[in-house]
Amino acid sequence: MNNISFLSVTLLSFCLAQAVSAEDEIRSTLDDQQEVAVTIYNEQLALVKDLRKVKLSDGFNRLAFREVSAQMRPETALLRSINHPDGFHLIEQNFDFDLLTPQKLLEKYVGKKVRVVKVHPTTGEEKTEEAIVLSVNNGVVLRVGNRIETGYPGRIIYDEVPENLRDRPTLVISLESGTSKQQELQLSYLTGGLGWKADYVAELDESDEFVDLTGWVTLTNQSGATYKNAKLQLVAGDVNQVRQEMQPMRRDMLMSKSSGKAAAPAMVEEGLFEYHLYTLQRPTTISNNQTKQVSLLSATKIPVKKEFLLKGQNYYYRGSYGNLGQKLKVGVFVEFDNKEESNLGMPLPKGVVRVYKNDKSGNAQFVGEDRIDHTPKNEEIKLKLGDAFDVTADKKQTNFKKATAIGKYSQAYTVSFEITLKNAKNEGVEVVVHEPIPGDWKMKEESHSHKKVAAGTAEWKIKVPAEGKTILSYDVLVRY
Amino acid sequence: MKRLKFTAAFIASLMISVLVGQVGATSHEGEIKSTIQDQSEVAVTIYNDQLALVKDLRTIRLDSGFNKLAFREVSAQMRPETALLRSLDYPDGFHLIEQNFDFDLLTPQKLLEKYVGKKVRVVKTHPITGKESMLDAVVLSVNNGVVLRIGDRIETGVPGRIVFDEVPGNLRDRPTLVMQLNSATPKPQQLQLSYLTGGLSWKADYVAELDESDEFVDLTGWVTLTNQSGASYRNAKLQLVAGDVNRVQNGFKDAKRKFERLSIESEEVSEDMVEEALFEYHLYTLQRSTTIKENQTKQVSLLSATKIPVVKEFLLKGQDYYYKSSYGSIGQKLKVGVFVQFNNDIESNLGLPLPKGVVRVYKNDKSGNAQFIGEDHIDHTPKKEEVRLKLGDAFDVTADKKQTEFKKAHALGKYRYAYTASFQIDLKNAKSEEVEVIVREPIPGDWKMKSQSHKHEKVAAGTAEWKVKVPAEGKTTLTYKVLVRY
Repeated sequence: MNNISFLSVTLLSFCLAQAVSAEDEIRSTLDDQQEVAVTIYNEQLALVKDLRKVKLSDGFNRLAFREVSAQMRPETALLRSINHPDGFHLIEQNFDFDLLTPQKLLEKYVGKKVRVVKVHPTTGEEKTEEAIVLSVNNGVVLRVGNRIETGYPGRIIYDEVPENLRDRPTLVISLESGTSKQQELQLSYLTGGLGWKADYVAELDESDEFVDLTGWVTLTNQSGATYKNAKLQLVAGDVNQVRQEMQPMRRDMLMSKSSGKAAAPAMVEEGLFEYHLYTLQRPTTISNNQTKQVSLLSATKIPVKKEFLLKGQNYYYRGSYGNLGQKLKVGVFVEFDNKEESNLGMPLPKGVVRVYKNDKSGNAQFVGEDRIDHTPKNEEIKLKLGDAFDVTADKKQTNFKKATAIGKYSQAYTVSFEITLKNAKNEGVEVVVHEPIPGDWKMKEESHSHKKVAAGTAEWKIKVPAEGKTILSYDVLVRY
Repeated sequence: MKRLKFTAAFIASLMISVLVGQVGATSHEGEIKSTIQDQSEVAVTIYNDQLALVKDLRTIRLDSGFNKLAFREVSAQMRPETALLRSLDYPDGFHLIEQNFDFDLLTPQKLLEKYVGKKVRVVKTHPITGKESMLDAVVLSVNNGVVLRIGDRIETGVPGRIVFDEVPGNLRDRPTLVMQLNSATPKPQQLQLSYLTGGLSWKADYVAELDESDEFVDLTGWVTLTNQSGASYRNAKLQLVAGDVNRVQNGFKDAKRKFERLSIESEEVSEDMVEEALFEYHLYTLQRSTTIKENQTKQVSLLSATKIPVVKEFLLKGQDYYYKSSYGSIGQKLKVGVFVQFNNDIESNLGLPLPKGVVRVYKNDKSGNAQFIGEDHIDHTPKKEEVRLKLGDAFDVTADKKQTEFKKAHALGKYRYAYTASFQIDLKNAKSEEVEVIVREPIPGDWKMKSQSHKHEKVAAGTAEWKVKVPAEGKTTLTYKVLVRY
């Protein structure tokens, strides 16, 4: 008994000490914020620079920097005094990631004194008793007076929120300040939960010869914080990251288009190290759980080339096969150059290009989408839009014979193929037939002449007349 | 006879005392409890891989002779076999008998289980007056429901809530080390408990600021430590050991990490951490005491250095299987890696042991705002080593690569297979300045370069390297033909 009362006295004093130290700290909230700059990278990473006006006392301070991103990587946090850097010295910083919840509060009170309140069932009168929380593992164990209780029929009241339980994500910094005047402090840190990608809208003209391209930036914020009137910058490029942090949670998000129509591009591009940096020219608010779109670029009248491509497989050259397929699908691609002569010539960050084309009554219809990687200028862009409906191919192996392997070769075969290309459209098309051929090969005979575009690849360009067909046949010697 | 009687009496009394102990479940009472309030000093030495040595010094008054000491509020991840208690003031006659680490934590269910066969009280509340009445009961069983004996009745549905008298001795609300020991003195004495624990670790974090020309870098090093050991260490004397200490059982393995050898040097260790050599490792001591709370991440500054010359490098790496059979196009717009490299020596304004960690590199944009441009791991790096960091892939420098020819050749003499393979690599640069790209190709077997557009260097047996200059907004084509024999 004596032992218990001693314990409760010391616990009380401990609680008091805690309450005092929490009061000691200087709190900085979003109200102090002067400016916030957010630089977002492609892979769920952002650099946040949060500038706040804070009045510290001369000498030692404990500063609680509240309302920072919940997905902050605390080891990257760096606090600087902008106007009084002399005498400003960081001692240590702690990121309190234990957010205040009823369960956490209970856990922090293990071994400490709480009050339990019971309500009289008829009069409603409340009776308060003191208790000590013994354990909160899978249920609460309390010591009330001389009893150990497990299913106590009342509610628990706490005196104080422990200082390392926060209602908002908070970075607590111990530091020395050289002045007691108000100063501007900049906190920079890397955080997860923010990411961006590019989305392009390409509008094909009627003749499939030109395309108008509009680029949008789509950014998502699931970092747990809102950045009000932020200076927004985006970095395009693959920045090396040591470990992939948190997995983004799937949530319902608000979509907000920042500018209704694709107006003049709002982002200004510059080079940064080996990447590209885009700066939004006006501040914007990035709310938590928001997806935001900002226009990035636009270009008109970019000449495009449409291509029909039939791709083969190299295992058909290694054994005997019969019919390789009827109505094989022929892929449709569009290709354009990212060059100034093509009215483009700018770095294109990776993303998805969605291609639209007007129908006869002038309504834009979706005709396909494809992913592009980061594309510097002067590169070629090739998008697979889909498979042609009216252009198909029938393909068969007509001959497979073992040949004599002479000298350095251990095996040799001659293989013959016949590919019938059919066109149901009312205009002629050109189909590119792309065949990967294994081993050390030699074309023996062919109905159209091929081009060896790489060691293991033969390519033919075959014209197929309107509502007609063209037959490509060839004999190839393959040796290993 | 007399002796026998005495013995019987002794045994009887012993049994009674055992029974009393059991019935009242008061085994806690025989114990001397030591909480964190008794702590006069705590020293924590943290190693890199989830390991720490804790030395917890407490002032405790023991009885002369046999004692049962409950050392509460120790780390929940203590490795109990490493625990060692010493008396600093009265080592003579201080003798440990046994120690138990109680990690059966107190839960309502466990509490009930421990009370099987023992006496509890059942509290009934009057539904109208709210008046509570108590009944004595004995817990008969707790398997799939509670069976109680209340007076002469056996009840299964508990007609109220169960109240216990005491927490059994081996159920603990906090991780507790219980020791049986002999003490020579009843005076307060200083006892030091030392043990190894998991749940504490540290790593280094570096901030490198690259200047505008990509020629110099300023480096700041931080120590980041995390405590998830289940205990707080108040006003601890903190020391860190950098080095790979061998351990028999590994607590946690870090999933997947890429280590690259790097080395950095800095002018001087800042006043916060002082470095010394310890065996074959480096020991860093924090010059003031600090509190390490549970679930906390803490940072302390470690070193700083300015104006370290760096070299930027563009690197295109190949794969050796492209030399073993026939391929077509190997890739369009292949990414070219960007690296920076510097020496950890005094001439480079560095020359310090750099504990392993992550280096984050920043560079200012045109309006002077620092932007993050990449990070990489470094392993423990002694001085005079080279530090190499991969920052990312260049946006504007890319490569198209294809195999243009693959032919079987005559395998003569000692060789079983021989091939000639030709490659074409188009290096493209969309920047407004010239760059030099290092093309590094791992070539298998016994190889011989037959023809090449640029001269290669054989940097290792299986590696050919070309340094290719690519003009601003232009491209350079590297072609080569190599004979590979096995």
